[in-house]
Amino acid sequence: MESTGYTVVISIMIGLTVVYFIIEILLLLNDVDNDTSNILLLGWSKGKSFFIPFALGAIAGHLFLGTSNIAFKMSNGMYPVLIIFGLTLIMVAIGFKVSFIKSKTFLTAILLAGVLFGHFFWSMNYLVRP
Amino acid sequence: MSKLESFLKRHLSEIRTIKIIVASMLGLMVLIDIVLVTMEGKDYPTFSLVVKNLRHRLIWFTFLYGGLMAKIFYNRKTSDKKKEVNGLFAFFSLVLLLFVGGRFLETAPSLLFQLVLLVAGGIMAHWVWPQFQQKA
Repeated sequence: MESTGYTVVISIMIGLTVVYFIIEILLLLNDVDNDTSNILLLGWSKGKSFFIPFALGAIAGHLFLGTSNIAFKMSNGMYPVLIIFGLTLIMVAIGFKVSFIKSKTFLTAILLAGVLFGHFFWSMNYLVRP
Repeated sequence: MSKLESFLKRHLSEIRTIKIIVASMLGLMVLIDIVLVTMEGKDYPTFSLVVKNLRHRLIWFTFLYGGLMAKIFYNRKTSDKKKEVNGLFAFFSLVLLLFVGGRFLETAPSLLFQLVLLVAGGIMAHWVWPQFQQKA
C-alpha cells in the first residue's frame, strides 16, 4: 500500500509540473519572443552555466537508467551527489573565469558525461550480492 | 485589453523577470528534493525514489524527459507557427499513448527499453516538434 508520505510527495510533483506548464504557456502567450525555458536553458548552457547539460544528463542517468553492477557503487550514497555539486561548482567557476565558445559538440559531450555519471555512479539499481 | 493580456504585460514582459521565475522554479525543485532527502526514513520518499518505484508507470516521463532535453540542446527552428503547434500535439499524443501503455506494465522496464525511450523521445522531439521563431 502507498503511504501518506508517498501521496504527499506525488502530489507535490504533480503540483510542480502543473505550475511549470502554466508558466510555459504564459511565456508562450506573452509578447517577449524566445523566452520559453528551453531557449533560456540553452542560452545559459552556452554562457557561463555549462554545467546544465551535465546536471540534466546526470539526472536522466539517475532516474531512468542506472547500472546494477555493484562494482561502481560508492561506499556512501551521498558521495555521488556531493561529487555532482563539486563538479557543478568547478564548472561554474570555469564558466565565470574563462569565456570560450560552447559548441554543440562540447555541450553534447558534457551531456553524455552527465548521463554516464548518473548511470554508473549514481544508480538506484545496485543489487546487493547475496 | 483582456485580463490575461494585461496580466502578461504587467508581470511577464521583461526577460529579466522571466529568467528569475524560470530559474527559481528549477531551484525550487532541487530544494524540495534536498528537504525530502533529509526527511528520508520518515515515510517521505524522495523524487528519485518515487520515479524508481513507478518506473513502469512512468515510461511516458522517460520519453518526455528525452524529448525535453532534445528541445533544449537539439532544437530545430521553423518560421511556421502551425508546425510547432502540430508538433506539440503529435509529441504529446505519443506521451499520452505511453501513459496509457504504462498502465498495463506490471514490472519495471528493462534498461535497454528505458534507453530506447530516452533516445526515441529526443529524436521524436527533434523531428516532429520544431521551435517557432520569427524571421529576423
